[in-house]
Amino acid sequence: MVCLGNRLRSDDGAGFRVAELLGDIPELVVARAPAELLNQLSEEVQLLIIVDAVENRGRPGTIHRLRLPDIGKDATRAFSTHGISLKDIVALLLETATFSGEVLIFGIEGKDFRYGEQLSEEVEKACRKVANEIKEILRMREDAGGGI
Amino acid sequence: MTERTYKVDYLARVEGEASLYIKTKKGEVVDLKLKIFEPPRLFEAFLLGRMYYDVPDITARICGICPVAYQMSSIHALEKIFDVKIEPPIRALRRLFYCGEWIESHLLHAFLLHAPDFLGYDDALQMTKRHPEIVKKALKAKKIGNEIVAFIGGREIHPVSACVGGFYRLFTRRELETLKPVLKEGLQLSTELLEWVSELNFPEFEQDYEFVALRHPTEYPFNEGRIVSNKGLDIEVEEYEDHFAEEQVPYANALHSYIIGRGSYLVGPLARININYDKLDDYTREKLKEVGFKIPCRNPFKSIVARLAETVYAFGEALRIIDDYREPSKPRAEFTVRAGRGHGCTEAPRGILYHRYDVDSEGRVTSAKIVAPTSQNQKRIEDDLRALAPKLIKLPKEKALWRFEQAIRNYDPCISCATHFLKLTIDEEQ
Repeated sequence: MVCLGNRLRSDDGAGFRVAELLGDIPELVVARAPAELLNQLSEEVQLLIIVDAVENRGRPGTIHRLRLPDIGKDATRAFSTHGISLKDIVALLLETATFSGEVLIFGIEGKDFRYGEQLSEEVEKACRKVANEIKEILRMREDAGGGI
Repeated sequence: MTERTYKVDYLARVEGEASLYIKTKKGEVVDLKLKIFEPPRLFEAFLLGRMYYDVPDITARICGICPVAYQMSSIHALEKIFDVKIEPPIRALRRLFYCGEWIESHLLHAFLLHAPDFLGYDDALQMTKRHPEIVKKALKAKKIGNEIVAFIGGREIHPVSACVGGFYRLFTRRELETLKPVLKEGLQLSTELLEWVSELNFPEFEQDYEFVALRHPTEYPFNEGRIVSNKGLDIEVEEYEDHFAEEQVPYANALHSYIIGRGSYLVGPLARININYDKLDDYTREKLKEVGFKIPCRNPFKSIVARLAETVYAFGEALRIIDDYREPSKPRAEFTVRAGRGHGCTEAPRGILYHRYDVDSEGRVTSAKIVAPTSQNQKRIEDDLRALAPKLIKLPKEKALWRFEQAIRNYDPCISCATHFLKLTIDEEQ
């Protein structure tokens, strides 16, 4: 479970907020940039859930539920230590880990990405919804014996 | 109010886009420019008026890959001003901290940015498809480097525990011992990776470099030593600005460093290993011998081997530090703040990182100068490109572009982000 974002850029802190709302769940990683995920290499991951703010000119607070192929094909262009894209990182992890390949991405449409520590009302609401949805997914997997 | 004049040089630590311009005339190169157009980041100006204790945390923000280097150079400079006496265990912990940074930085560059060049892949993803086990080993070992930084520094990127005088908390021997199993694993992994990079196909290319690195009487250098070159330079850190200068070139926001009266020079793993080969531990030297690496090595494409050798060394050194560790009496030394000027120079993964500060009697910064390794290598990178150009411009454009980019990446510059989409323009006049 990975929550991405920058708490000092207003709605970009959505990932952090979802992490706060999820509380103490195992295997939760809070990261400021996708590159930090390089250190999360694991042989045992069966499901990877990623939460991040997105800027896609949509209605603020809209929740995009994405799978890996949905996040654009040209993301590899900026492969570098400073700008490894989320898609590249996940692709790299998939190549290097014995991973079932199930990746679920929650993108929360932001309203304001200027400097600030406050989420917009719409994004705060969306974060609560995403956190509840993730809790439900985890509960269902646990009930099904899949672990989390 | 007392009038003060602050003079601040730009710190052009580049991490943005670069382009390369080459002009040829009748098959000869008549103009070549590596253009860095990332805006200056002005960190030296941010430091003015700040208290000395803010400096390590502000400078750490300059780089997400080598924040420890920025902390260490600034701390050493400030400790000289306050004449701080450091206990040996604190000194050892700083070396351990640096081991973590070299490991994570070197492996990230070597396997995600540089190695694909040698194998004809566009990027690490392509390489991973063909060599998943190698990338997996590299990421595993890199993670251990990050763990060391996080362990000592409180977090893996922009750590927060280092301060003037030592650290904000005490590290027990028992805590450090917990790192040993992963360090042993890292030593094994990095040795295998060293063997692997040594078998890459290196272009034939040598230059008569002036290698510049720190040199310590008994250790492979991290934090301390004299600034030494293979061409006779041997100075105290305090003398840096008597021998090195920076110049602004109109086409780049990165300052070009040079040795006064001589010109470009090379810093980083290749320089360090050429100057300090005898200070490596027996194990690393033995492994280098096995893979056929010899000094002097003047082929910049082999910097990837030097980078891996230093990674092997860093794992071994981290284990030795932990084995010898005795807990310090207190986490940081006491000292009295006073006005003065201090200089610090430590070995960042990419080469020597020079800091100089003036502080007033309260410990407030009145001037700051930071010379990053990438600045120091800029001129040398251009010289390499100039030397390679006559041969490369005869190749098909795509192939030439590839080789030019690879030559830039030999230096692990902080413009790595940009060099992967380097724009190449070749003007050909008949």
